[in-house]
Amino acid sequence: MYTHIYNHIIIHYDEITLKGGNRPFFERVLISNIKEFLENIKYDKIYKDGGKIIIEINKNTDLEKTKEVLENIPGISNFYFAVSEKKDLEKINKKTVEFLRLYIKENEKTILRQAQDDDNVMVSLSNHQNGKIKTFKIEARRSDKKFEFKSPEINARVGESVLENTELKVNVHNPDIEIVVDIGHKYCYIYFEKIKGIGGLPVGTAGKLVSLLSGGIDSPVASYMMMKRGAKIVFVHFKNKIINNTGDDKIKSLVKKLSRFQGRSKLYIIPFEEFQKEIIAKIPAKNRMIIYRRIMFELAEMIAKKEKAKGFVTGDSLSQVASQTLDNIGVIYNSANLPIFPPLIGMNKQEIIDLAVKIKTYEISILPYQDCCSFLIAKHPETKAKLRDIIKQEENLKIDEIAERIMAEIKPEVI
Amino acid sequence: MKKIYLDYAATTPTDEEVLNEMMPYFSQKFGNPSSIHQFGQEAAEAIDKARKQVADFLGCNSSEIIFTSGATESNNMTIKGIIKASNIKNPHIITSSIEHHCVLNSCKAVEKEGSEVTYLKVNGNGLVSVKDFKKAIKENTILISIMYANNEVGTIEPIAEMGEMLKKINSEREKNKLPKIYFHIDAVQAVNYLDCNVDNLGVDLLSISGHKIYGPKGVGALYVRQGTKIKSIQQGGEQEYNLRAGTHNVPGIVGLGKTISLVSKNRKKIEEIKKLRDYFIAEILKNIPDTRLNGSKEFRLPHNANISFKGIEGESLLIMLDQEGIAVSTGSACSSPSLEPSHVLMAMGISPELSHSSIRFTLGKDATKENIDFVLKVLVEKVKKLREISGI
Repeated sequence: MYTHIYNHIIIHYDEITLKGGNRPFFERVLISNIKEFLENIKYDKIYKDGGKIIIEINKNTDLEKTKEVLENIPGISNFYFAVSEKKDLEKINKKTVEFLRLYIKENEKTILRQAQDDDNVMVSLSNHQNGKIKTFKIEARRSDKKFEFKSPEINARVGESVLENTELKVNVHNPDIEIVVDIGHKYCYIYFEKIKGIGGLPVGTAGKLVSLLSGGIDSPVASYMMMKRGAKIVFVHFKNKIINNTGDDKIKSLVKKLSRFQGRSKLYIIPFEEFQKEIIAKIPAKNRMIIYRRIMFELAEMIAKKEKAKGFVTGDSLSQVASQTLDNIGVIYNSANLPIFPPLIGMNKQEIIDLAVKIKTYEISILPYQDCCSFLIAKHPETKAKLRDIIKQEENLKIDEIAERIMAEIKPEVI
Repeated sequence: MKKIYLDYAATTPTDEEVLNEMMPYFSQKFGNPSSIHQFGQEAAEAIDKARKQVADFLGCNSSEIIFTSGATESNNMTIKGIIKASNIKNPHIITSSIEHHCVLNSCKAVEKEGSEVTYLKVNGNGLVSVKDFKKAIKENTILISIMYANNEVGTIEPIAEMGEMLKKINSEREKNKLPKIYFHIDAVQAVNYLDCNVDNLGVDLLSISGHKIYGPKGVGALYVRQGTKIKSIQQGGEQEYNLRAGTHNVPGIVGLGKTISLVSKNRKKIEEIKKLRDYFIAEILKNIPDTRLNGSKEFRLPHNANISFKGIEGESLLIMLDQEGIAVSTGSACSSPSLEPSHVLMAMGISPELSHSSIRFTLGKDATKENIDFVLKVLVEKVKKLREISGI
């Protein structure tokens, strides 16, 4: 499908266009993000053209890879591979027909290939019929309002040329293919196939958040959701080497998967066993999980300060497990001085899993891994913790001394 | 900080004498004992010697000793291998509810494959009753597996009495053409302290482990009485009379042989350890209120003290003691990091709360009164502190 007839990529963004005076800032960040993501991909130029971002590509551009990259960049609502032509209607007519013919030929080849791959001939035959392009519609757009023809006129003229030179018929309500003829400031772009992006806002436009990444299913999804809203995520993982000496591969590959959405990511791994020992020695089993998590926020706050992050992300979902009852969330979140964002708070487990599958973190999350939160906790932990009791129990803990020693050694890894 | 290790039931340091014996077999005498050349034969001779040392200790023939990777493997091999070799449709096994997890989980595994298992109850001291033992026997019983001494509470089971009785039962069964019942004991915790002569005990199979008796980790043995029908559960070469495929752990086996030959020498110290242990228990019960000794006073390994400290969580105390350099254990070391009350204490009828409050102290041959007094002092202090801060 991705032949080298394409020489441009047209990128559309939706939410950014509502940003009024701040719009140029969002556009600038998006372009600079795209540049970072395309670091290993060959292309000629990237620039803004009206309300679009244009990438000029060449014969050496890996189109599949480019598609994969653009599909995951927050802020892009959709994009097209396009061919360009000078802004001359004659030439545009010719180019449209040429492009269309090639596209139809490629499309039929693909259908044929799929049919051959398919064991069930009957099914593939009907697919064949369905996939065939028979009708079309021209959809003209004019970013360049000075162009000599108006949209309805462009529609009529280009449509006529397609009718004359191909076997396609017009269907304005439900066409098999909608051909966009987009008159930009520099060129006219012709494209058909819309590829959906993830939308939202460019990473970094919202500032930084520290995400508490456990290695489970939920926290990567939560991190993704905040990236999609423009936050740059710094990851913090707490690890207890007494129960988990399997290395950091799992956490690192989760961060790597998530870096598809935000580019290079920082990961801090904090050894947690000494904190946990201190807690186990002095806190009854049923309250340990709550205090583990309160201490985690205290430590994460040290990272947040260093990173100038403005809050935390967690994978909490209301009442999913004992530490996520309203009482317990209240007590746990109380230990943080920065706001905590749990974007999955109202989601069901299955909804979270579906999203985890979609962003491809699920298969990593389900690998065996001993989560430090479950270290020596009661079988039936407290579900209705009272802040006053917890704070009183914490008075016996000597966390600061341990924190000072351990946190001084912590260095982030860039993934 | 002074470090005091009171967890000898979890593992022991390898004796220097044992280590010296092992050393040449890593790099100098490295041959594979299955090789015919001189390198191989040198290693094969070392294994023969070790096998003889183990056999002498158990009072059996060398050909009845199978070297394994440890007691977990020996116990798996017994339960699965005896079942595999039996031609009964639904073989029945008898074991106790306080066995090590490698026995209990092997039993659960064969249960899933159609075997029947009876888990004998124990009394409040952790003792299996010989009467229950006899009553549980059925026509399709082919194996009884009981631990010689329990790893958590140190209770010593009446093995010789059971063995004697089983001998009579088996000769009756022979007349009635019923399958022979094999008697297996897990003697891991017993080797250092108790008579392990297989004929005195009347056992057909017996598991031992190197690292519990001042030897190396990763090596153990299974005694299999001549004529016992057992099949290997692991395929490969023909090592260990076709029962245990895999290249021999030569240094480990050499170490096991040496360490077991030293057991009788170390036994002179048992009285001393026992005296210290008794003093330790008496002082705790006297000086710390709301404490109780778990397990039998009479039938107990001489180095074990298992105490419940009411109102305290075992692992809290464990970590507080660790912060003072004192190593002890709650339940057995192999258990998961999650908090499950000990299955042994629960089987003895002790409440989950009190089980959760228990600590196992196991003394070693380096125990001194000075160390014990230090531990007692810290213990009094820490228990008091924990009772003050804990809400329960």
